[in-house]
Amino acid sequence: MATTVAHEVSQPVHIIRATSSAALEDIKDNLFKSDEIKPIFERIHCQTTRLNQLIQNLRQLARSNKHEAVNINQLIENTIGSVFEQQFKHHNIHLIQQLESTQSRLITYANPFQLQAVLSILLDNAFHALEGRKNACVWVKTFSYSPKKVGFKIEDNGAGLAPEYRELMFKPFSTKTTEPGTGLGLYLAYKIIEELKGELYYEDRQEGGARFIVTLPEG
Amino acid sequence: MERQYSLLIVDDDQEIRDTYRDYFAKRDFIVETAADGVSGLEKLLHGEFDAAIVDLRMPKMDGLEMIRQALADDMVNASMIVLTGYGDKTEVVKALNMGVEAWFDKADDLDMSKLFKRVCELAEVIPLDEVRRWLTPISKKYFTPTGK
Repeated sequence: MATTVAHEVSQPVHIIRATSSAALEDIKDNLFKSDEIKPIFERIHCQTTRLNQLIQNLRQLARSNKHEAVNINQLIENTIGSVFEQQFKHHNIHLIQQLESTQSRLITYANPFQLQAVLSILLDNAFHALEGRKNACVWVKTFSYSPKKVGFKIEDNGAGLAPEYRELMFKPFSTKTTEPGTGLGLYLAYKIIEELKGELYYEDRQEGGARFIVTLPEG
Repeated sequence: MERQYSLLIVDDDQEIRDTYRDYFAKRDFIVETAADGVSGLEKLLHGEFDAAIVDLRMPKMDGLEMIRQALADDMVNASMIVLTGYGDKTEVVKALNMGVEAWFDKADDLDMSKLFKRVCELAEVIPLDEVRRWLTPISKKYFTPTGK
């Protein structure tokens, strides 16, 4: 995890450093043009925003000791409502929520920010797997089963995962050649769920597509 | 007139590619870029580059694997320079053992003038097989045994 975080920090630092160092050298060598000032400041500003966001995310993750009872149904509804509903709709991806009856005790003991991060990573992956496809659908399901397990599934009717990719999918930087992204998402998700003493695994959908399943101890 | 050096920049971050491309292009380099190891390897195998600046951590194919494949069987003559981040020291050792000629730490001590100087030094080194290609006709002309 520490190496991953270090890499995430080093990228914006690298950009700021390279941009400012290049500009200083250009000035020294009389190669600097006045119309370059604005894009340089924009580039640096953008990277400080990226660093700031990263610090905020780390703060949220650092609160992992402060676990609390999390209602999985509620967490899913909030996450989808705040970010994904519009995004999926805008790209003609049908998002179907099949949440287990609220009578069930769908509570786990976790840091809600971490769980939200896992959910976002899985939904983001499904989104990219379906982008541009016809009749694209994503299903978000919650479940509970004995003894004392709760969880959720994210399914899509995309192409699924090629067999050669399955062994590597939870390793860092193993992004499938056809997918965008840094290749860290599933690795981070796996690590978070592992720390929560749960499981994250993949299976093919019988009807075609991918299914990611998260199980967690009941809180 | 001095010849123009050609440089390939392989990094998954667009901002980095743009910054390096602009910097070296202003200094008369012919610059090409690639966003991952797969397209970087493709360009190295089909193009003529004096040097390549390569990030280690990239999607699709990482920098080490790209360099390993490029340098296998002397398929590519370009001098390799790797960019590393925090905690990549093990990879640096691997890279140097593969034949990489220089490495720079992205966040720690990156200085464009030092990078530029090193790229120039490596770019002006003429690959051995090119030297042989030049020397072969000369040696044939002046050093062919007379057959006495």
